[in-house]
Amino acid sequence: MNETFLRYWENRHEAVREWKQKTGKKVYGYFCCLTPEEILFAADVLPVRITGTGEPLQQADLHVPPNSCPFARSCLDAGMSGLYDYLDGVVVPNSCDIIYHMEYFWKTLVPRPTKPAVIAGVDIKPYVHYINYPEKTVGREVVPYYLEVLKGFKQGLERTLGRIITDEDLARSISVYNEDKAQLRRMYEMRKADPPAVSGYEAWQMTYASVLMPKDEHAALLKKTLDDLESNSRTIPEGIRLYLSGSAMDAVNAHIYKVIEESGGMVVSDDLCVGTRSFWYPLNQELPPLEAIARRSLGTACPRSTVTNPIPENRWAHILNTTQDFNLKGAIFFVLKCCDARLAEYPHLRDKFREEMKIPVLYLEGDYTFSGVEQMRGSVEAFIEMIEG
Amino acid sequence: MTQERQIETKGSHKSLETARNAWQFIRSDYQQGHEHKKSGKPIVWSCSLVEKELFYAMGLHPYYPEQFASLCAVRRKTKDSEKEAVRFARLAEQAGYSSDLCGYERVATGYVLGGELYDAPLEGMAQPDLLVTTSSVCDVRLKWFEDIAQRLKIPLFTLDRPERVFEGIMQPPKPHEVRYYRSQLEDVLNFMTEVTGTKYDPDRLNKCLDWSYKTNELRLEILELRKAVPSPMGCADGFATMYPGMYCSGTEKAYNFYKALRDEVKAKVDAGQGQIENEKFRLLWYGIPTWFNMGIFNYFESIGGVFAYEPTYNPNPWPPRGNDDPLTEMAVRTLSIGSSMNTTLRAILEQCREYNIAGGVLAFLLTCRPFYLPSLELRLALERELGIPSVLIESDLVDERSFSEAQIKTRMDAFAEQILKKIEAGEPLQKRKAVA
Repeated sequence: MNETFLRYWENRHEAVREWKQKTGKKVYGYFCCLTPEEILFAADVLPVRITGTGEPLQQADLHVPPNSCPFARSCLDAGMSGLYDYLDGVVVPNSCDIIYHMEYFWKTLVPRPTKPAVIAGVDIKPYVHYINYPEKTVGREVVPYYLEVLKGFKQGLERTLGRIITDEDLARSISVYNEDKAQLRRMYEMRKADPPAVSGYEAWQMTYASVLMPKDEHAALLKKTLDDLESNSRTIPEGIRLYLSGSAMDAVNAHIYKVIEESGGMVVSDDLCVGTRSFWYPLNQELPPLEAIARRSLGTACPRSTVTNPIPENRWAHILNTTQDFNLKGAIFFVLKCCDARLAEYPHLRDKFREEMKIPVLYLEGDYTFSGVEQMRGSVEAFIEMIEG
Repeated sequence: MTQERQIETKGSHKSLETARNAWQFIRSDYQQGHEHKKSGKPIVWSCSLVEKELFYAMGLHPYYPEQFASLCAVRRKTKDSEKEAVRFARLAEQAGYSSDLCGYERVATGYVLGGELYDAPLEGMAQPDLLVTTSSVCDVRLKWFEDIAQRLKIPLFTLDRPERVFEGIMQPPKPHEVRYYRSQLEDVLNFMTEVTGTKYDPDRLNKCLDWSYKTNELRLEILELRKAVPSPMGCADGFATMYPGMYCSGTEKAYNFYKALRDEVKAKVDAGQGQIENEKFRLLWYGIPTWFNMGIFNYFESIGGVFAYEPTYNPNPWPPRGNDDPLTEMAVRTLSIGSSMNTTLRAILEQCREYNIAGGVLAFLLTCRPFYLPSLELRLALERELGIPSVLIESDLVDERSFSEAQIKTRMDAFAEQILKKIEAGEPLQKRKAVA
């Protein structure tokens, strides 16, 4: 594993702080992989994905009740505790019921680095930027609507940052993002081999680094890492080939990869937001840049989104795209407690795996703690043994 | 039959005749739906905040799985069996639907999975020909309807309402938001035409809109009347009478229902007659009620406490009826209301002042994220802004298995004690708003 990737994975906050100090540039935090982070990057800002800690809450439990997404609660707690004090701004898309409310929670409860600049009742340099992401991502007028939303977001950023974001800036950002997506896709292609060249855990680590590092640096490092792996014809020990579908996959939840690998399994593809959902579909460079970004963002296979179709199957479509040729023997659903969209779609997707792909499915419910993941070991071992026969 | 226990839940005593008779309205509406189906006319399953006038204008009879789930919360198959809501929720859970999912969804899904659609309260909901849902309120209603569509192979249309964040409670929408939502209203009409063969007639829609606007005005008038001291109409009455407004908006029968309700409330106000003889303090009920235990609304009456205000199903003021394109008018109406946490809190605080509320009973609805998530912030805001106490009632909406009666009574008694102490000490029950 490349040392830079490790650095971001082992202590993301320290690594970003150092980057900020070294470059003198701004850092924005964001929730969810559908956020149009390309616009931030175009403005010379480093976008970093906000994640939690998996530790007991210090402050957020006074404000966000317990029977709700433990990941989102932990993210807020981390913000309230000052773990994200290096952020210059935060972007909150309307991506699920609880993340939607992060606009309010983050604005009212998390200390911001600069005072609000209120004129005529409007904060002209907001710390929290809200993106009114549609829940229906395919349909007449969705793209024109969302383009207007993104124009507003871009203008808000321009005013806050005191600079114009030109089409050239956006096009350059798209090109960098596409290169990073291409490298990540290449890494997943290498996982189609049996045995694969990269373990599930390593692949996750490299993907996770992509949501914390500048994308250009990440793409270059990933390219070099993959080149080296290819030239060494490296393979890893065999394991039962599995698909992992789940809620937010950060350093806490990613412990599941270790549990799976230590139980004789190997994740080779996934339906995760720090995984295929964050990079599988490239941006169309033939389109006007903002439209390309809008379409990429709308194209995210978010479990919460729907499409205009009498019997929507957009989620299964993404699963089909990310399972083909991976020679899968089983699928694990690792869903966080109270993750409504995932809980509601699970029975249908489980049945599709069983009936159409003829592979078994294991359901695990996470509580967003390391110990909670560790307790899944027995179920994972039994599942893998069952597949092995 | 698996039966863990039966809790001592009971129905409420309502103070209004119209509220006591509201049940007949619901039963008759269900019967009309079954007749509609038998005569070969189309049935739609939908949910609140979809513009109901669309259905009536297109000759559809709607059923609402969420509302049906609340019916199941009070009905048993036999005297000794568990509630129908619990029976259906179990079926869903056995099929892999998490018990953390919305009670409405689990009950309605269990009902669908059971496969005997007419073996249910009021002979159940007639089999749907199409489904229409909305992104408003919560993620579950969208995903749940997708699941029904996939399971029953019945076509679905989703109306996506942009979730607007702004300061204040209402704000005119932006042109691109109106364009987006209006285009979907047009598309849902085309969808209905494709499925049913009925063509959209703007005149018919306008007639439905005339009824719904007139009904909305009546409902607003009732809300104003309800601010009177003593409180003429309680939350039990409010929840019992929400069905025509929430689910039959756009019909003459809904208008007539609220006209009768308005007349009854007005007569009580004119006569200075309250819900109870000796009203001492007035309460807020926040959230959807625990439908299986509506008797909770009479809990404080013996000590002079009445539930006076419940924001959940109350109407909002709409822009005045115009001669404009009806679809644009509907889009503007739907989009004018904010849904952010800030808007929710501001709206409730404002009305708590208007209704002279002395305490808040907050339904801490474990599986209903849109009402559950703001609960703690609301509790803090009621204390901070109004100086009033509140109590959390931990429960599901329809699944009584999560309801711990003894624990909740202890909490409610302690809560009432706080208010009674203020009364005894002659302290104001609500902090006055600071004047600039």
